[in-house]
Amino acid sequence: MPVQYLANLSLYVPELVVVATMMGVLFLESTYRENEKNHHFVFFLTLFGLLVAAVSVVANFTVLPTEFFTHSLIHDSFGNLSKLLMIFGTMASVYLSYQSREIDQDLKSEFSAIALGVLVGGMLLSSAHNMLTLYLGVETLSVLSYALAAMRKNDEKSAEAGLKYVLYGGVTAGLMLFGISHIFGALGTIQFTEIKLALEKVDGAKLAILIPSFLLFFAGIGYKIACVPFHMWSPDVYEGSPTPVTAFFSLVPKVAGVAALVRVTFSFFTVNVLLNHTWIALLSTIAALTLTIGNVTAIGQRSVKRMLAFSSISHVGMIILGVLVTSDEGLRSVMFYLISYLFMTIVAFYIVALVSEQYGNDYFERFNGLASRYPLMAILLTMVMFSLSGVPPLSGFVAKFNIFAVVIEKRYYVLALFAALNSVVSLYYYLKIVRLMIFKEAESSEEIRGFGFVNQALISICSVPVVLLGIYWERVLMWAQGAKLFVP
Amino acid sequence: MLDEFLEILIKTVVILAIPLGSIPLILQMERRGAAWIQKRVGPNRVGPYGLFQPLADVFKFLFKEEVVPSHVKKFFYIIAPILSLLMALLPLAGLPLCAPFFIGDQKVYPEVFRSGLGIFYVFAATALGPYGILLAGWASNNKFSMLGALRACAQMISYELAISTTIVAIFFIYGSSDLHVMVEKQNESLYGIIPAWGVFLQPVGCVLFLVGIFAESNRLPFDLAEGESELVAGYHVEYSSMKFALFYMAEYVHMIILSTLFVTIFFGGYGLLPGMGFVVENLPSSIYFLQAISLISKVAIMMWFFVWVRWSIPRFRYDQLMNLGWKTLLPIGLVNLLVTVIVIYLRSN
Amino acid sequence: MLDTNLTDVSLCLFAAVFAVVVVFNKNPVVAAFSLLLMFIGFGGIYFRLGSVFLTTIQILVYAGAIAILFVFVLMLMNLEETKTFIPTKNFSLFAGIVAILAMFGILTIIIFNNTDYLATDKLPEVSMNTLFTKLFETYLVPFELSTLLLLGATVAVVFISKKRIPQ
Repeated sequence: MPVQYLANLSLYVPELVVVATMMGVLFLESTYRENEKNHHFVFFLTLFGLLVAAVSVVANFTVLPTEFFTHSLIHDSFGNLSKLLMIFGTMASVYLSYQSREIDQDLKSEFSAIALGVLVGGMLLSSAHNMLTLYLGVETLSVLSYALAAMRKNDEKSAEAGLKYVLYGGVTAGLMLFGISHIFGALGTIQFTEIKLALEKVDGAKLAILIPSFLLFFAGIGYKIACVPFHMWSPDVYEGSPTPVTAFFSLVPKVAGVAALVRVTFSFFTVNVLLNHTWIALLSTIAALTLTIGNVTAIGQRSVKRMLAFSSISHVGMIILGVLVTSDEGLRSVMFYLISYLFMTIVAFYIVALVSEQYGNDYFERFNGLASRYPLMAILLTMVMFSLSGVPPLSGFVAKFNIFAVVIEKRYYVLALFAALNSVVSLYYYLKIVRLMIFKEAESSEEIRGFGFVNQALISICSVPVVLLGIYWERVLMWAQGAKLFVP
Repeated sequence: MLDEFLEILIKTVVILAIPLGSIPLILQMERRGAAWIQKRVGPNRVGPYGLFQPLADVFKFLFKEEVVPSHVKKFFYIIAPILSLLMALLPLAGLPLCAPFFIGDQKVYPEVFRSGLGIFYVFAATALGPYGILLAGWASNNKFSMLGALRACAQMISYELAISTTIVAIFFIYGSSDLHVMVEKQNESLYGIIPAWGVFLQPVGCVLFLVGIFAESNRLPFDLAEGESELVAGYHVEYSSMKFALFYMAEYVHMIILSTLFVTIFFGGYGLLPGMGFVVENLPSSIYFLQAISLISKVAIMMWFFVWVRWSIPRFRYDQLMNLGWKTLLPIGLVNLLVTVIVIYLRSN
Repeated sequence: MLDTNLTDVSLCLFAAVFAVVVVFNKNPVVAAFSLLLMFIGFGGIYFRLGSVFLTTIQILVYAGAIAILFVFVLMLMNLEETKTFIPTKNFSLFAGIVAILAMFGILTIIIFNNTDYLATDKLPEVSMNTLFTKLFETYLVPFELSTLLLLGATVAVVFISKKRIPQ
């Protein structure tokens, strides 16, 4: 057994690198003296560790899909792509945390350490092959995020965010575990492969247990990706947390949760017809509700972060549409959507963070007249807003188009109609900020400290894929197709 | 069915009678020992050398007026000492007095609760100890009692950790959690002369365990829960006569149990003391009786050690105590575990 | 169909009664102590199901560590008595009763339709050996990764609760 573990260790290198970075950050932080101001070394160590992890994920792309560590984890290119996206998202949020004034100076290295822990949880979740590993991934993701949400010490909104997240997450994790234990009780195993085999032969009596249990199980995953009806924590937590933390929350847990949802759907719900139909009905209802509620509630928001939170809920609705078609094209469209969503969200949150930390809050009025003061940033934000709502020729449009294509191909016309209407509605709140930036007068003429040369350059680099993916999308789509799911 | 019940009944009676019956003796030893260390005489009026003093104490406790103050929460106030003594007596069920013996053709184990778990059960039952104290402190409706109870409870659960790390190392050394197996393994000899007692195999663990049991039983130098000069009498300040006597008994029973555990793991338990081999060769059926005598004498020596330390070392302050438990003993325990595992791994290759 | 046993029924009732006390009692400390007794009741149920090891672990971990922390913190906080959670408005009461009955109905149907594989005499013999073999060989990786969760949670607790040095 030890020899087998050592042989498989090479597949596990990304997680190990991230864990080592986390320990390194903790050790390095303890060597700083009491009043030392800048913790640059910790920052560079985090970025370096994440870079090494990304390189090792890319190096693993050529290895054949396999399950390892006695069937608890699975290695395939889909999981690797998710891990890469999560690593990139973490790098972006860590950089933002070091630039932002919303996180206290002495807590910046804790942010890195905990964010790395959340990343490991996310990586576990996206390559789970075992109910235990899946639950452990969800818990690691959640528990460490609770602390991140409450990072601003004397801010009551931050404390409220943390508390709401804890309460909600605790209950939902309990429900998920309840569902998992019933699934184990009914089928006798927690390995996904064996569950799949058992589901093929299941009969009506066991289905009476299994369907509610899978519903409860979905509660845990749905809460992580913030889909209706498990979305109520999302706006308060997103608004109350410091903005780098919000950026982190809208990237890493979503990718991880979507990856877990995809794995669960493709593993369990492609074998038994009755279960199939139940699950797809469930997902369709949830997708439709999520899209609608996310969009409609985003209209009346005063705070940009809350608006972005609700809009990310509706994006998750689109992703669930891509998941429920349970085909390779669906998977490909989901991956493409996640890639483009990553870049759009990074740019949007960077600009919102840097503007709102200057003025203390993130209401829409703070963005008045940004076009006259920082034209480059305004243009980029405009582009990202158009892309988020799905206007060609940007990447958001291509992503949504792909999802529409697979949904219509499977003849779910009602869902496609929902999605189309919601995309139109989303145009309103995305363009609200564009209108304010371009057509209104600036409130004040002070310099925004965050928009130095380096930051503007980085934001521009991150926004290049938003345009590029919209134009040269065929290549990337083929590449996303290579991210195949391995269902043994 | 009936003889199973009878067997358990007899074992229970024996295992309860020995500690509870020896409490008066321990009390007397404590007082005379304290007096001797402090160069004074101690109680010597009530019988030859004051040997009937504990009897007088018992009568005092029985006949004192039972006062239930009006400000306490009655139900919990009355239950707390009972709960304390109950939780203190539970671990006795897992402690063996001698090796398993045969009556006719049936193997009889000298412990009341025989499972494969041995030390696990004793440790789990000891973990329930703090509840009586907590309930007493809370039910007294008195800030000082509350503080004393919380401090005592925090101290007990912190030092449980140090003890646990040592017990894990012990598992590795003896390969089993059964106390009989541990004593059998300690009867072999190490390098031919000295017996393979736990104290020679695990010296660091022995010291840690010793410190741990002083803290678990709230004895000096860790007795700030009942520190007379700080908190009046801590969690049992509102208790008088027999209820106080129950707490007192619970503390001594706790001491006895932890000493028995300590002696069984590190000092050979019921393995025979040197010199008894001679008697056994002549009367082979007396071995079990002699094993019980060995165990009891070793525990008695441990009790004297408790009294000795009590009157020799000053009391720890609360923050010093918590620092010692978490920042010193726990890391040392973990390092000890690591070293033990490495040594065992290297020796098995 | 189901063979019931007095010990089993009384143990389950014991645990159930104290669970109800935990939810409905007004005094937080009494609720915490009832939680302790409920855990001990569960330990008894595991014992009747044949696993002494699980009983000991339940007492050691749940009753001896988790419940102590609950009791400790609640005593420290010195809360006043809360209002009980029995709803008083008619609709909430009605909805609550319907929900409880529905849940019990579902559970009963599920259990009675599946007694063939829910029966406990088919449980395999679990000793410490088999348990630890599974833990350290088959499920080693989740076991080791849970330490990462603990580490992260410890760091999080420390930085949330430490005092801010005013800048």
